[in-house]
Amino acid sequence: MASKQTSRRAKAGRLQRQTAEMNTQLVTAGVRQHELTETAEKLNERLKAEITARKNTEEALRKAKDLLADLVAHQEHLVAERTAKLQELVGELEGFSYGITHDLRAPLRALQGFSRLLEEGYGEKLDDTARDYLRRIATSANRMDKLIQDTLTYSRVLRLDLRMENVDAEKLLRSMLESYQEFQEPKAEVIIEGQLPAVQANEAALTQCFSNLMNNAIKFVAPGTKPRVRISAERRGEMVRLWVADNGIGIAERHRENIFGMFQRLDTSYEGTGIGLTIVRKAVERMGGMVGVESEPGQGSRFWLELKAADKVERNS
Amino acid sequence: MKTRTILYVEDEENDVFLMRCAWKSAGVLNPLKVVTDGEQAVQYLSREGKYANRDEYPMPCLVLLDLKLPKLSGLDVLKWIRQQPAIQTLPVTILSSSNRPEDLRTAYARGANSYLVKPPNTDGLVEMVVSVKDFWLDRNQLPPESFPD
Repeated sequence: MASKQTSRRAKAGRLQRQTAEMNTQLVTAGVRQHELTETAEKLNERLKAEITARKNTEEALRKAKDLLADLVAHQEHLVAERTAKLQELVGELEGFSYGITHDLRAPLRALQGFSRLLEEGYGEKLDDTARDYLRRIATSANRMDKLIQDTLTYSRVLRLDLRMENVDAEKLLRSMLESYQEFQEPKAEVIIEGQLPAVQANEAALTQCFSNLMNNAIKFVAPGTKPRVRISAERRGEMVRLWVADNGIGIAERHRENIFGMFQRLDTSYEGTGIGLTIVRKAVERMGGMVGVESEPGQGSRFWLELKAADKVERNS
Repeated sequence: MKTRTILYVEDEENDVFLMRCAWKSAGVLNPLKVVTDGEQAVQYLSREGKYANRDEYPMPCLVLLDLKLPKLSGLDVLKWIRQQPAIQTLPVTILSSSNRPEDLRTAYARGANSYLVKPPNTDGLVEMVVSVKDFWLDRNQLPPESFPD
């Protein structure tokens, strides 16, 4: 009996323990579940935050992309706008030179012509002073016309598309020497020393350069001196330096840089517009070359222009 | 054979005056008729209005044509001449201040027979008139059909 009671009590105790244990487990499980739920919620939140962040990033990226596209479009627009403006400017320059050519020179022809008619028809009725005034009017008109022509040449050198090709400098110079009496005996002695190589140039522009340099060389000599011009070439790496040396009056050091400037004239007793060397420098620069001068007063001048040597492959063909 | 007329199309009054002087100095006997814009040139050559009077305004054997003209440009006049069956072979010499390559190219492309740049002084002008006379009036053979009055 007593053992039965004992076993029952034991059983109850066991049940009680079991229940307590289950309770504990349940509580633990509840706590655990709660914890898990919390974790899940936290994870969810973090995920949400991440998604939001990613969305934000994507949005920012998209915006940046749009911005970039806008910038590119803007840049392209700017480039197009500037190109258009430049073309407009070139067009205006063209119109300007057209106007100068056609209209500005007409009054000068009239000045020239009528002062001449006056001199021829009424010269006897005028005294020396009056005739001198007339001569000055005519000379000035003539000079103005030369200035206009040289300015036009300069603007042409500025705006024209200079197509580059291989140019046989020697052949070009020899044909120039043959064509102009002022480069020939007895007026002048022009000698080409050695062989001149071919260079990369625009033939018309190079002709203009040589013409200006040679005309200067024979013009700026002391009175009574026969001009002697030596033309030679010197290879300098990829470049060819072409020399035009004269026996002229020479240029003092302080003027040597100036002489390439527009309208610069050192000695007004020699006729000229002061644009010739400006044209040479601009033309040579546009052909990718350089110009310069070595000189001493009374010792002549040695002008040079340097251009790329001709392309060999093309030269053989 | 009677001396044939030259038509000079020029709007610059001074240029016209100096041309007449040079004409005289050079001893050219051919009459020089002058019109002062492109439209008048077309009227002259198509015998419109007062130009119907052939004694007063004979058909020219040569046209000296300035490029920059009021109303109708020299190039337009040239183009018009080349489109008229009756006078399409009429010799036309451009006489312009311009020696711009683009002006030369266009003038020749439109059928100019020669192109002269106006000399800057009177001596040059007289020389030019002499050479025009020597070449165009004496030496050159004009088109045979030229040009019924």
